[in-house]
Amino acid sequence: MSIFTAMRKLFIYSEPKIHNLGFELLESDDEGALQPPNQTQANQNTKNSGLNNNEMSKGNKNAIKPLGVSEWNKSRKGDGENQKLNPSQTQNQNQAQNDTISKDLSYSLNVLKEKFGVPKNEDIVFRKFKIGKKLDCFMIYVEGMIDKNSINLSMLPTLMSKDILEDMGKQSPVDFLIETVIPVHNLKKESLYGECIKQVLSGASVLFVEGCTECIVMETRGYEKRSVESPKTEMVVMGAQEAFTENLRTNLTLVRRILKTQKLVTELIPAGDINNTMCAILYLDGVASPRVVQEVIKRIKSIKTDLIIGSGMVEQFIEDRPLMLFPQVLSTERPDRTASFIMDGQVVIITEGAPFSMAVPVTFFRLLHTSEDSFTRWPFGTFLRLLRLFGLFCATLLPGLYVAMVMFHPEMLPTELLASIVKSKELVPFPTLLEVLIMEIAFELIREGGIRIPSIIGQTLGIVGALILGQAAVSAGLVSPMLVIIVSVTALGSFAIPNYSMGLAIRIERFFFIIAGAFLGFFGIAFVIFTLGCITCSIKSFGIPFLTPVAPKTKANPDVVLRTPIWMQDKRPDPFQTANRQKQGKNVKNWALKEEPKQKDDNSNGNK
Amino acid sequence: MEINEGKFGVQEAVCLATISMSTKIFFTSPAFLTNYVGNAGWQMTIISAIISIIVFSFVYILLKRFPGKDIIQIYDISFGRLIGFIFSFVFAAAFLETAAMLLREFVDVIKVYVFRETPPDILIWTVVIAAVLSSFLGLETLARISKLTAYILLVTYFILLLLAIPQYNPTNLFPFFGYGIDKTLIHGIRRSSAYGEVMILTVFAGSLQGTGYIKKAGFISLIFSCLILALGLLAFSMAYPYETTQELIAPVYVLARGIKYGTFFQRLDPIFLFLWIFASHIAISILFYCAVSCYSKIFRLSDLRPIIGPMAVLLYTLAMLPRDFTSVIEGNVHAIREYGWVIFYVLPLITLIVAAIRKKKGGTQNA
Amino acid sequence: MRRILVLILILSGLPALTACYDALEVDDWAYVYTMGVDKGISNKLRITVQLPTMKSSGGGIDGGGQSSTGSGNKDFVVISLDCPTFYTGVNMINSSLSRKINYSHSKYFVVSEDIAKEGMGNLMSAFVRDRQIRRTMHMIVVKGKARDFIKEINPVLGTALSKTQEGMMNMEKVNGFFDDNDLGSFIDDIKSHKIQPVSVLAAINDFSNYKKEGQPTDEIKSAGDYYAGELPRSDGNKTEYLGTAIFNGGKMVGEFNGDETRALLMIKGEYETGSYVIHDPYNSKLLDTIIVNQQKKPDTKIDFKKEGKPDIEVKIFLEGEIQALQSTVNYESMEYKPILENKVETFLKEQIDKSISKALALNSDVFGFGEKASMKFLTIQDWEEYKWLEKFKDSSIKTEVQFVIRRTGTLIKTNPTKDGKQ
Repeated sequence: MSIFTAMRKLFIYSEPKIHNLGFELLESDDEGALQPPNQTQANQNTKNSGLNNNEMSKGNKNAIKPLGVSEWNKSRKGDGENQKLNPSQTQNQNQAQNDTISKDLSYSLNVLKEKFGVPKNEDIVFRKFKIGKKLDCFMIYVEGMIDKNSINLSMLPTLMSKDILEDMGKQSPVDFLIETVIPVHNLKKESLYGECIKQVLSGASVLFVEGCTECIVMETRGYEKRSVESPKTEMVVMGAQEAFTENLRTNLTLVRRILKTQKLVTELIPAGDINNTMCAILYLDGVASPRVVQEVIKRIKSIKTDLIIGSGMVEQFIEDRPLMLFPQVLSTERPDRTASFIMDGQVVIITEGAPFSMAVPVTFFRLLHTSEDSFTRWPFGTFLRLLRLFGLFCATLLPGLYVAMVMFHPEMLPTELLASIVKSKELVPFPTLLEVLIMEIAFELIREGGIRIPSIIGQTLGIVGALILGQAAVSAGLVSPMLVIIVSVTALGSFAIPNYSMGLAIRIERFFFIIAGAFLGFFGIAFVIFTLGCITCSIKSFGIPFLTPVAPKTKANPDVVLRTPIWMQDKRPDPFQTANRQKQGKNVKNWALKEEPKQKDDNSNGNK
Repeated sequence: MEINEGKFGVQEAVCLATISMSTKIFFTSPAFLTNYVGNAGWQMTIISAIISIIVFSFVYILLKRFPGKDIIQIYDISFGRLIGFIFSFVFAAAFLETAAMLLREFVDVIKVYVFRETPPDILIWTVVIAAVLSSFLGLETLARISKLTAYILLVTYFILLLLAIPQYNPTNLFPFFGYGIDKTLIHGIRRSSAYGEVMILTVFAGSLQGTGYIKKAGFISLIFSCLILALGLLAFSMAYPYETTQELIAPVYVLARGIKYGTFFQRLDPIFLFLWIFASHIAISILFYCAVSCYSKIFRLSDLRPIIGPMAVLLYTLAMLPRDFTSVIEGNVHAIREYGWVIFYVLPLITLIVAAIRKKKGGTQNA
Repeated sequence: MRRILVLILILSGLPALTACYDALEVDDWAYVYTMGVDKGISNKLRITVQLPTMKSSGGGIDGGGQSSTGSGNKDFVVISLDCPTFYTGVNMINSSLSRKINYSHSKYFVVSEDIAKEGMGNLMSAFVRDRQIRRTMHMIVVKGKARDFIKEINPVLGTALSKTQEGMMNMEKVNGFFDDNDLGSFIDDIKSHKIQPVSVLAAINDFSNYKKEGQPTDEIKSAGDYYAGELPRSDGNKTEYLGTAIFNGGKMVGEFNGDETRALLMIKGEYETGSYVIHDPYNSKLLDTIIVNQQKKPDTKIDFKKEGKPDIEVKIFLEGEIQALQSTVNYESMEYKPILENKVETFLKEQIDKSISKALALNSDVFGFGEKASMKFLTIQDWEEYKWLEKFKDSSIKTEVQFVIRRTGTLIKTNPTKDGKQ
């Protein structure tokens, strides 16, 4: 049925729909100039962690400021909670008058118990006690998500000690507790049940006090998490050996540890209607194009789904062309790479729950870069890039070219090679196309099996692969030995592609080429390259054409295909429409000059 | 309501125009013209290029009168609806016919050398599909893909010419003036239609940032194409005596077939086949899109996608129309190359004169 | 979006429906390595093709090695057939062969002498039209029957025939005894108004010139003073490539022997290297061996003075190295070196003059003087009217050879041998 309608649509004219996809980053006049801190961002409650004080006060009228700015800055962990508060607060304002916390403690207790489904729900702990042996209160938290030590050893003893309420004047007990009593590094007030529930679910403990319409949300998170380990999918020889974890806080810290600048902005947006996964959007203020930032925020906010687990799902919701094979965001598990993306003016999205960050916009050529390129000296980096490009070529085209050559253009093969191919093909019963497909699919199976196989018996897989594919298939006369070489070189090539999603895309495209090669030889392959090329040219990743520095041509940082010497990379990549193009000053042997360079450097780097 | 075809820069425009102009070096017409000018084909094409540059500068004057307008709109404004319609229609038809003949030439050459038994329909349809697809994706995509492949095509082309150096014998260039300067000159002027495809820039005038860019793109692409065509003609005139060249169907392909370095590096022509296929795919797609664009501009359609399908069928039909390869070479292609200038060059010139007399001038820039 | 996708899906299905016409598996072809043409007995032509049998001995894994160097398992098969034209003949062969004949890999095109002498211009230009025929094939004229010759083409060293064939033709650069001309330029030359074609001359050497018994002789014969098939040689490959077939238009009119071929190459500027033996200037019984290389392209000047007759001056620049000296004269010294150089110059000039007069007698401008002459003309009409190839026989040709001994090998001096009598 849907095929029929699609067919019908082919022949019947319909007005072109105007898609909202048409977000385009066109050249604008303000580009390249240093922009004043952005107003639009301020409206969206951007939290510039630190120096933009004026702006903050303007933007966050409704934000509660229990801590001083400097303290705030040190304890960045609290940042997130505060952030979470604001958008939802504005949302809820109209809807929930009765959601405000009641003065009656037992009422509150009942409301919360009902909402959490206690006593059916056994995870939630309601701890009732008396502050200073006088004031009734209860604390609520989720078992296992809080740090037991801080509750047991500092919080409860302090609160329950005898004299603490002595100094309390006419102040609200909540304010008094916050200011003088509670020994927690980061806390805030809250006046809505709904918010409290969210905070409790994300690991905070919340203190309700008799007679107050506000409660205290305390940062006592202490759940189990994986520690920082070395990268699993993006190994490098020379370079940092740490990778992201599933924990958003840890990841943000890893990035911030590298980028020690107050201009690094972290915006937190919840995604997922039910599980409220936090998406952190990181960018360098004054460098990243504000339009891209807005677009990213817009797209993430517009996600309407119950469940978001990790960046992979977010990627699928925000990418421009879901039908295209190539990835339109660049995922990495390396904090150092993430930092370099941010410095290049890209916007990075880190999602809770997956050890990956995503950088947008992305161009084709950046998918082929690795962090090692910039760690090694430029001749090595260039060599590695070219090698990778060759790997890409092999992985995509080699089997297709082989099929085309053997079936359509045997005159091209050197005569001796042809003779040995013919001789080895003599006893093989399958046509070349089938032979290649069998081998390729067998290889893909081994690869998939290799990932899924329990690591205890992982050893066997190598043996099976090597034996079945290499030796046995040939000696049984199922495939020709030439083909084994082709398939293995193809495999090696596809392993050399640094980006996993890109690698998957290439692995699929390879089959197109094999089939095209079998039908029309080099003509078919050229046709597929052309159509794929056209489609790839039409892809846009957040408004930037996918093949940007080359087609369309832009004034690019020379670091595209070749890895140019580091002192030549003085501009940020142009396609990202960064507000500040200059990346570094003149660095050609600065140390050899005596006095002048210092001034020069100051000039050129001054606006950084 | 105008079509939003997108914007592109000078480099993309140069690539579009250069590829669509210089693809003909790969096919039959260079060999065919040695029948007229002997081994002086490279001189002839330089003369043609000079003529085309002169004409294009007049066209530029015309475009400057109507900033931001493309040639179709200019026809409309200068002549009024009816004559303008005829002019534009002829223009569109010329582009379609050029595309169709390039397609047919390409398919027949490929068929002769590689796919002897494959029915031409399959080959033609494959190219038409590529053209349709790229037209669906729009002008920006076409500009980008031509930019992307332009480097590769250019480098491969020069590698081909360089690898063929052992085949060159400079004495084949003598007698220096071929069949005589007079013939070279006359045919050079007539064959200036070889550069007629530069007029696609006038059709896409609205997509370039300004008239100044069109001038730049036009001149650069003319000079580039002249270089490519002249070097190609020079190369095979050097490689083979004119007696042989006159016999060959696609002399540059024969040049590629002749490359031989030891027992391993020989018979490399299937690799260079990619050059042929890519260049033709892109050139045909550009010309096809250009025809579609002209057509939709004539009728002021707001969306050109619905007419791509019918136009594709038309392209296929036109390409299949000639009975045999001989009538392609001696009839259609020859006619386009010999008389194409009447459409591509004379019509805009008439328009310029008429516009000057009727004192028509373009409105504001509506880029 | 979906429309595009559906469109792609539907249309990409088209080629699938029509199957792949030109696709053939590699082992569906029979690859011709050598093609030959003889005069036919029961039909116009007798064509011969040499095909590898592609029988692997090792069962696939070690495909390259053919264990059967002996007589039992043949690696190549030679098929001959009488037919009206070459391509119909190929069709006829396929009535007994299960694989389609493919000659895109063929290396040699062998023509028998009698066909060449009868004129083969038409045959050749008809032949080259097929797409599988490559201009890079080597053109060989063989004395006797082409079929017999092709049967003897077999690698003596190594197993790969195609390598042997290509390698053989590279020997031009080692000894200069034949002028390797590929099919393309052969056909160009047939049609050209500037130059006459040549081709490699080959023959079967049945080792009959090699006398096992007989009177030892002191007679000296130059290394290149042989035609193909005449070398007093035993064992090795029976095929022999030596000398050049000289054509006039499409017709073979004469032969150059090895030395004359060297001279031809020197005038064309294609000579690479080769050893020459000369009589010692002081003691003509002693023989000195000199390696002669071409230093740069020859300088050819052409004038039209007397009644449009061409007046040609050729200056040939050669250089060399002493390879072996039997004489004890110190030719390495500044004093004696010019003497040896002069001797070589006069010797080579003689050789060159001999081949030029032979070509003049045959009225065949194989040297390509016409290419230089055409520079004097402005238009093709003038040039074709002049009819160079006709007037070549009337031209007067002056030659000049410059020879320099650059190096003297590993020795700088030769001391006389001593025996007990001194």
